Amino acid sequence: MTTKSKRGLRFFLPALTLSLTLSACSGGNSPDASPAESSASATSTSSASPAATGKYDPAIELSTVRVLYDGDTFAGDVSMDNNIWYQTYDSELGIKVKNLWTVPSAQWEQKMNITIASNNIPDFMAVNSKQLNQLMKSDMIQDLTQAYNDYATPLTRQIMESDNGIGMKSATFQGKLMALPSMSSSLDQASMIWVRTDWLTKLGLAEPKTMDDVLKISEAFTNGDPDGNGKKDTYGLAVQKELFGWLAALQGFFEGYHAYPNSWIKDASGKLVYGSVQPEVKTALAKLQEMYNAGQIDREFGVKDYGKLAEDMTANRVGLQFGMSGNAFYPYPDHVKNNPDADWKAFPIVSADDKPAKVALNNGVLQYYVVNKNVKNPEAVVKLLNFAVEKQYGEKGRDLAFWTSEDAPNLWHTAAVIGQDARQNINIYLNIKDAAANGAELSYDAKDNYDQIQKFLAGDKSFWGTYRWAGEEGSLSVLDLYDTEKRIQFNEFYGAATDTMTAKMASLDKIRLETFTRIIMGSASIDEFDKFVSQWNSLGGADITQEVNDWAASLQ
Amino acid sequence: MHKSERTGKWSTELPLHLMVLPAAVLIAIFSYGPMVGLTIAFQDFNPSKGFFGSPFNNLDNFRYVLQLPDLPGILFNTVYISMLKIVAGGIVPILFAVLLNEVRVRFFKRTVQTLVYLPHFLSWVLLGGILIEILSPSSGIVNAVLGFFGIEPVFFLGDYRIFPYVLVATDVWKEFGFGTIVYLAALTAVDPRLYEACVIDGGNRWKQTIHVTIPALFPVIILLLTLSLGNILNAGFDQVFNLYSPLVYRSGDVIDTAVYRMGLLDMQFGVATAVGLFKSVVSLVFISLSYFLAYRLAGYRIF
Amino acid sequence: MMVQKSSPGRMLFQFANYSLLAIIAAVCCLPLIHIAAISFSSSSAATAGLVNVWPVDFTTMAYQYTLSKSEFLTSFLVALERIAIGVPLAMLLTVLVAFPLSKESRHFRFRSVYVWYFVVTILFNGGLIPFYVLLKELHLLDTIWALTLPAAVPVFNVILLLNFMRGLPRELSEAAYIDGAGHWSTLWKVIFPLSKPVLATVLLFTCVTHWNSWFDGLILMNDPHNYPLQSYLQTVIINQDPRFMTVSELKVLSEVSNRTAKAAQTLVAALPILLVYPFLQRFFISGIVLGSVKG
Repeated sequence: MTTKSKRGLRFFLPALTLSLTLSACSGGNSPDASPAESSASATSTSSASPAATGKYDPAIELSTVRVLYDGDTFAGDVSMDNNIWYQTYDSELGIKVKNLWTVPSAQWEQKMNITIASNNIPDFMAVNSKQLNQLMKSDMIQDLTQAYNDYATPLTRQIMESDNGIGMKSATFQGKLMALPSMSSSLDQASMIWVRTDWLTKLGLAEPKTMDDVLKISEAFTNGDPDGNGKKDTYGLAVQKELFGWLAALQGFFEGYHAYPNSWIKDASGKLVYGSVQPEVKTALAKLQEMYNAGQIDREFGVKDYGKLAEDMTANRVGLQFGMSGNAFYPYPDHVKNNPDADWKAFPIVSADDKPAKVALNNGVLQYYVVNKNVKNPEAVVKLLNFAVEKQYGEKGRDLAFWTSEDAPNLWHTAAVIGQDARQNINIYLNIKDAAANGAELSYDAKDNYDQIQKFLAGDKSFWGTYRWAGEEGSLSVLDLYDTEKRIQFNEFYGAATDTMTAKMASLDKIRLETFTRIIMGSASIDEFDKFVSQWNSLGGADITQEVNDWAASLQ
Repeated sequence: MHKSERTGKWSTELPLHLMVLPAAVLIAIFSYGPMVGLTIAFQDFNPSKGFFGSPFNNLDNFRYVLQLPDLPGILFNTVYISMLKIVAGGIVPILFAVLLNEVRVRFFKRTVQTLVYLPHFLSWVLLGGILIEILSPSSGIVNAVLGFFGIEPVFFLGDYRIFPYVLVATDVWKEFGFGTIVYLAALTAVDPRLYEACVIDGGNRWKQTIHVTIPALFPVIILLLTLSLGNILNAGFDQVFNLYSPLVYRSGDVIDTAVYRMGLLDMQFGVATAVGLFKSVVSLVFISLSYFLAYRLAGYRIF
Repeated sequence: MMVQKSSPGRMLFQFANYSLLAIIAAVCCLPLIHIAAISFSSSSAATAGLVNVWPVDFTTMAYQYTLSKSEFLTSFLVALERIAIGVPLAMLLTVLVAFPLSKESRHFRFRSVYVWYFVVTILFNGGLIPFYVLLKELHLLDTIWALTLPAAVPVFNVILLLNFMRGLPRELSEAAYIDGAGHWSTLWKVIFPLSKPVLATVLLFTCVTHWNSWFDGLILMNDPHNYPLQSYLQTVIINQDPRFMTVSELKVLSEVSNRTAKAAQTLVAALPILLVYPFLQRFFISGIVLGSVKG
């Protein structure tokens, strides 16, 4: 029996992700931006003109809503409503910013959805792409093309284009810039291999350079008793039930076979097709099926989520996974802390043939700043952006007064608008490498990491995470490799979800997940894949493909 | 004729109306007020235009739902699982309350009663993690115990044939404490003279239970059963979401989880409301049916 | 209470019964013990799944993290305020509605109309958006009334109570009426005292509902200082679910083990109810004095 409680529609939600970006950009080369598809963003001139930074007199008021980051603490006088950013917005820019509400990140999407649905949006705010679409369809936000062109400083432009301009493109609809993307690095999401290097040594195996190596490692970890306890209680490859994600995922494995299940890629004729229904996927699935059959994949992977997989790794049950650069911070540090002999290291993904493997990357923008249709001074938001970018990456370096303080270690979280260099994490790594090799000057963010790495090398194991992330041969070095060797397969589709996508994609994903899982577990033969392809097409995939290609055509 | 409760006159009934009044007003405001929003189910909702300004798209939202590829399967799963829960969730607390009622030692009775209410406080997020462990075919306790009896390990959470029953069993375990409280409370109100009469007629403990205890519980049982029929299309999102996986979609995917995966809850207001409205209507039909059946056939008003 | 006679069969039954009940009770409390153990364990032990029913690497870190912030105390007070206002209000209205509706139609016409008026609201729900808009228009957001008024008429409890009241012997209230009492005094002097078992039940449910609600607090309160306890506790837990976690999120995850924090949160949330519950139990279990009815 259940108590009847009044629940409205339940909004479940992924956390808002505002990436912590700690880097000075300085010399980072911006890869050349692909030509903008509309004339609007390309042609602007004015930059450091007074208009870009001038003060409003009398002051104007802008309302917004804010997110509390996990783990933040503010002491003393500092709060989301009252801090140096807001005070300076007022004194220097003549903009009074007021928070209508503040909510923890886990509830942000829910609260924002209601705010939008009840037609209650503030003057400006940060939204995700689904919400951006809705706001556009409902005609609740305004075109920022003019404001951006006239008021964005060169530095701002540089930062906004730092991801090949994809972010800006994804915020542009029919030639109009409807939002200011807040960058987060898509490169950070590239897959890579993480291996228990102490197990490699123990079993006399080489570091993985080809898919064959990986298969050998998987087999050895399963049968070679790497944890040395005499029991056959380990397995080869870590996989969680969703098959794709940020830990124990399979993107990297598929990429080794040049399959990109979550991306739209160009086929031989230049048309866009979906990665999941391409023949390369079948090859990879067949291999996974073999591995499962040989006991190299956990028989219960189908019910295990991230938490459970983290447990498995921490409990010495598995030593090989395809994950992401951030895994250096979770789940490994805990494990390494308690198992002094254990060590994990990141490697670039490997290929099953002689063509180098590429990582699939999506548009990395997770958040967009939008401006309410009724706001008379939309350029004020651009000014806030200019201000932030200046304080972060300006010539004088990071303005620490705005960045951190005794009362608020993460003071910069209180800023209402933030611009972020997409290359920040990579730049940390490059800077550190440069400093170690040539004694180059350390940027503000690189410095912390550098110090931690030094401490680790001197014996303080608690900084293992930083070392394996930004240190020599750390996971960032893998990203750097992908970047410099151009081993990236960008998702060719980065527009808003099409109509059929909104309607059918979730069902198609469900079928895909079920089919792939059954194939891997051997309860369906590999030829089931062909059935899946035709099912996918007939149940809406063909329509989606058509819509995606129409979108691509509209960009010309 | 002595003065007893008068009937039918406004003056005597007025105090009763007044008693109901404050609550009726609050309900009008907070429950009926928002029902205006049900119109969204028939609209192409645009927040900037609101409920009154958005264009109507008649039954399009409903058609959208009906076109979902696996709808029949999902509907079946939902109803099947709910019905099992209603039945099992109805019987177990009754049995338990009756058994508990036999206990003489007060301390034991109170402790047991408290302990069985505990699972209610655990979220399915937590329980999900725990259940995955104990139901594991390779390392879980349950299968270890089954092994003692020579039974092969069962992949409870990964076998679509068993999954619905796992859902029902764990849900009953979590919530039976709730029903027990209600039944125990009802049991305390049973007139002792009825028991005495039964004893005089030669009834032993068992007969007392059958002829006095259970019948005394009938009203509450029927009531709780009927009200839980209102949940017929709520197979329990929290629980299913935390326990299901692609392996068991075909028997475990229910309306709410399917709707969730579609992200329907985020921005597809019209469709989400349509689904909710549909569920409500079905619930109303079931409850009304039960009410009127009981009334016509047994002259008994359930509530 | 039932009449009983001792016999070997009876003793066997009692033995089996007590054993069965004990086993079931144990199975019910094991998960909570397990979670309590996790909450007192180190994060790496918890992540490795090493904890069973006893803490491993005993530490109070999770509790420190959960309880240390001043928001904990503020939200606790908000929760208390919510209960202090919401529970008596709901109880009062529950009784006031249940009594008239427990009468038969001939004594209270429109009874059935009212009943259906209330029951329909359990089934139909306009949805979160209209609800939110309504509260906004009434300027109830960020007030304690947003948390207490909508829940002021818990229809399920009303029906439970009315059902029980209907089952009370009619002679009792008849006697009161004969003595000249009106509805109001009959309700409070006769029916109310007799309804203690169900009232205690309903009281418990109402308290638990108010104590456990977290969703409304998060949505209806704009200022985090107004969050009741459970809403605040929700914010302590980091959502691990998204498709992609950024490096920063992963960093935070590593510092605060989600497992132990979640476990501590559960314990903190469940504890008060567990303390209150035994007090209310007296009413469910002890018999009521029905002997006052003169045959």
